[in-house]
Order: sequence, then C-alpha cells, then structure tokens
Amino acid sequence: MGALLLVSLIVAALFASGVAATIVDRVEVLVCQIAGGGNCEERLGAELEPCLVNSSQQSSNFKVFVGVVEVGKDSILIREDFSDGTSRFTLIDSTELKGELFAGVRAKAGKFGLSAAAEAAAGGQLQGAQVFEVPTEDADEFEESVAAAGGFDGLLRDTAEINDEIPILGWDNPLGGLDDLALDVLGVDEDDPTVDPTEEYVDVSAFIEGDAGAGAGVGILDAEVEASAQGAAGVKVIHEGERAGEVELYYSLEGEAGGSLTAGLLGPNIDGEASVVATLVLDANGEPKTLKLSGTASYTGALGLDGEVDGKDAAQIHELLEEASLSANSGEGSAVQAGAELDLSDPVNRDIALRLLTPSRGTQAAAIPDLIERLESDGLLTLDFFDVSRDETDGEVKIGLGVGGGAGGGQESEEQTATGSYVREPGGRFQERVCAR
Amino acid sequence: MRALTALFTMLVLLAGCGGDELSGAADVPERYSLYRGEGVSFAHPDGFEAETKTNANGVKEVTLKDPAGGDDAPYIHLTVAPDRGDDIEPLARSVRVATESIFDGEVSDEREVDVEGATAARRVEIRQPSRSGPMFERESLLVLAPDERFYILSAAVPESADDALDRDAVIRSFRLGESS
Repeated sequence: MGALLLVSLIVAALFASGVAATIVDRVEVLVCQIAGGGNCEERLGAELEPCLVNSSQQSSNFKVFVGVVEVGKDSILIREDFSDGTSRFTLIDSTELKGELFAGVRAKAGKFGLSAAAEAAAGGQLQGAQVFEVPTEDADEFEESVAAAGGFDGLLRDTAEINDEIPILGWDNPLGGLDDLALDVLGVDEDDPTVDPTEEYVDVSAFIEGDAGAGAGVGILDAEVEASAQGAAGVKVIHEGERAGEVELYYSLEGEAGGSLTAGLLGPNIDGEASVVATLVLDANGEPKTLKLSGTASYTGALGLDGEVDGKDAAQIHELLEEASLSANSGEGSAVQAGAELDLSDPVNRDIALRLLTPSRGTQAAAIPDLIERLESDGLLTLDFFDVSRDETDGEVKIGLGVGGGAGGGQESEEQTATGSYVREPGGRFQERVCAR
Repeated sequence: MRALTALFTMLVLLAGCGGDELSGAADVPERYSLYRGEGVSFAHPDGFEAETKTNANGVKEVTLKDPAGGDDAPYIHLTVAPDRGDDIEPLARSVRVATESIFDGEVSDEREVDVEGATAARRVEIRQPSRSGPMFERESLLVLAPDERFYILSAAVPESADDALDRDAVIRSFRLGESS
C-alpha cells in the first residue's frame, strides 16, 4: 500500500510538471499492476487510441476542359485529423452519388456528424469510396491537390495519357508534360499510377455474393453472423495496419430499437426521431470482434455539459443528459455523441450483439435491455462534444491540365470541431480521454 | 507475315466480341430450364430449386441448387440490389475487393460484355476457397440495368466437380426483361 501511495505521488508530480504523456502512461500501468489490476497494458492501449480532433467535408463540382475533351467530375472529400498527427481522407468519387450523398450529409449534419460510417449505415452507397491516410502536415497539400483535380488519380492519369500525344496525329504533345507534373504533386508514379487505399468501402451486394455459398462452406461467415450481415447497409474492408483484414458492417438502428437504444445512450428526453449507428467489426476470419454504437444529438446554447462529465459514473451522466434539451434533428451548433464498445469475444456479448443486428421482428428491441446492462457493466463508454459549422463559398480553383486546362467550381464545407472527449472504462468513471500523440 | 498476324488477331478479337454478347433468344441446354423472376431470366439444371428472400438492407437473393445435392453441391445465386446508380466501375471494384480482400479468393479474369438492354455489364471469373478447404470456381455476370438495379448472377462449382454445372451456359443465358 505504501508503494502504491509513493507511486501515486510521483504520478501527481509528473502531471504537475508536464512530463511527457508517454512516461505518465507507463507509470499508470505500474499503478494498475501494483493495485492488482488485470489487463493493465490493454487498458493503456485503449486509452491511447488517436482522437478525432477535427473533421471537414468538402463537396467539389468542377468541369475540366482538356483540349477538345470535356470531362465532368464530381466528388466528395471527407477529411479527419487525428491527435496522433495523421489525417484520413475518404474520397467518394462518383458523379451519380455526389448530389444525393452530399444532400444526405447536409441533412444529417448534427444528427450523425460527418461520419462516412454513418452515411454507409444510413444506406448511402459508398461503394468504391477509398480511405487514404497521410501525415497531417501534408494534409492541406493533399486536400488542395485533390480538390483542384476535381477527383483523384484517375482523372489526372487519364488526362496525362490523353495529352502525352496529340490525338489522331500521334505526335508528342509539347504541353503534355504539365500533366506529369500534376501527377508528381499527387505522388502518383506514372509507370504504376495507382495509390493503394488504407481502407475501402464495398457494395454490400458484393459482400453478400461472396458469402452466398455459405451452405457449402464458401465465404467467411457462420450462419448466425451471415443472418446479421443481411441487415447491414454498408461494408468497409481494412487493408493496412494492425487491423488489416478486418471488416466493418454498418447498420442504422431506427424505430423502436433506435429509440430505446438512444434512450440508453443519451437519456430518454431526446426530441425528434432518434437513431443509432451500429458497427459490427469482424476479424480477418469473419468472427465478430467488437460492437460499436454511436448516437448523436445536438443542443443549442452553452449548457456546459462537457465541464461536468469528469469523474461521474454512467448513471450520473444519464441524469446530466436528461436535464439537457437534446434534439436528434438540428444541424449547426453544439453536439454530443455518445458511443459504446462491447468486446464480442465474450460469448454472452456476442449473442446479444447478433440478436440486436439480426433483422427479425421483435428480436432487436428485445435484445436492448440485455445490451444496456452489458454496456453498463462491461462496455467502454465514450462521450464526445463537438461544435458544428458550415461554410459555403463560390471560390474558383484552377489547375493547369494541358491544353485549355483549368478547373473551376463552388465549394461547400462543413466542419466539426471536438471540444471535449471523455471515456469510461468498464466499471469505472468517466475521465478525460488520453489521446495518442 | 505481319499482315497475316494482324488479320488473325482481328479474327480472334471479333470472335471474342461475338461470344460476349448476350442478346436475342437464350440458348438453354438440354436438361436445363429457364428461371424467370426479378426482371431477368437465365438457365439452370432441371433439378435445381429456387429459394428467394429479401434482406432488410433491400437486397434480394435467389439461390438455386439441387435439394439433394449436399453442402458442397454446385449452386447458382442471383443478387439484386436496387438504386445503384449508373456507373458499374465502383460496383465491379467492390466485387474484386470483396473477393480478394475479404474472402481470400482471386479474380482471374474480368471483361466487359454486351447485355441487351443493360447500361453496362462485366463478366468475371473467380476462384474462392471454402472454409473446409476445397476451392470453388465461380463465374459471375455483373449487370447494371437502366432502372439502376445491379444484378450479380453467379454459377459456382467445387473445383473437383467442374463438370457438375455448365457455368458458361448459365451465364450466357442471362437476359434482362425475363425474355426467353
């Protein structure tokens, strides 16, 4: 006990002196171990996930003229900056989907935030959307390059190939080199002009088709998981990093199930039609790994909610949220997002999660009381506070694209800035989240 | 000699183009029947029975197989997804990515085909392992219709029983509009 007291005093001194967070984190593990806690390293890992510090979504609508060829290109670029110095860009490059999707995002701003996962869960067809991860210090350049091109490497690659020689005559185009320069800016190798995404959205029908022979042992899902997958509206596969091979399935829980779950996450006093985004994470073998739930509500005025969260348990947070006037519908302003994660390697948790996500009349809503109980005892809970703002400009972006090159168009952006982030480990109290740096 | 080579190449390409055009009356082999439903038609072995379901995500599935065939029997599967736009490339890419990155399979061939009445179509050949080990050979036809419905018709057999299902006949018999 004396040793614990001594180490605690050291930790307090370290905090006061602002010593590097990593050292403090190691000492916290030591405290955990001396106190007889289990899985101390795992807890540290959970705390040190990178936090989202900012996200913005841009819609670009450009017309590009290259020689006598007119190429129209619409795209949506979602940027998310994380506290560990990385930025993630989700590029949705589809003329057909642009209008519908961006309109959807605008309508949902404040309800779902600006999450591509939320779009996928709500049935937004993100097939082909790709996620790229770059250092934040290079993110502005990346964003400007993609926005200026009105798309990504495909457009520039095609353009460059078209302009390397003059059509029909076959002579070298003296201005074709400008395109190659643009490729260099984007870091695209002309001889192998592909950039591998770190994550990728696939159409849910392709996922279903790949698992269609499940009865013959084809595919990766067992019968229970396959039944749950049939309710998923979107799918993402992770290509790189520690989670390579994992698959995320997205669901939008609405109606009775969504309302009950929202009440469990954010309290019963939410105004408007509430819904929850559920993500079922499958490991590389198709086994359920984690259930993630996220519900967002907006509020107006300075309620000071985020200043009162620290040190409270889940029940106290519920009381706090019940006093606030939350809405599931409004757009700009302040927003609170409640999240929960459940480890599905526990068979009881797995069973509850699959009941929740398997579309069968009555089953989903019936699973919610059990789910709330497990979340309170065994779940990782998070509360994130955001400010949401919008900006619309008619600015023009130009880029040299060979003969007659140039691109122009309006831009709209929505921005979401985190103002507070709290986490509650299973059985603990809410504490300010320690983010990876 | 060069002219002869060019002529031969052209003939091969022309033959290939003709083989990838799915139009007119479908050729239904002996001991095969025609399935009609979901706005399409295609041939299947006489003994196969169809099971249809609509998922909560709006995707319809039709599975045809021999009810006495056992777990590792050949199967035909049709997926119909509504409101998929007018660009087939992200959908075809989805099939490639799902096959290779999720199901540990490989796409050995992919080519454009002409399907009468379709906005665009691709034909892909896939090898995909089963959980118990045996490899399945799958031919899939991806068709995007003008009403934005996206069809995937697959004919799959275990590698060891390649003759159990005429995959080419199934795929080539596909028609939009339930015509025969």
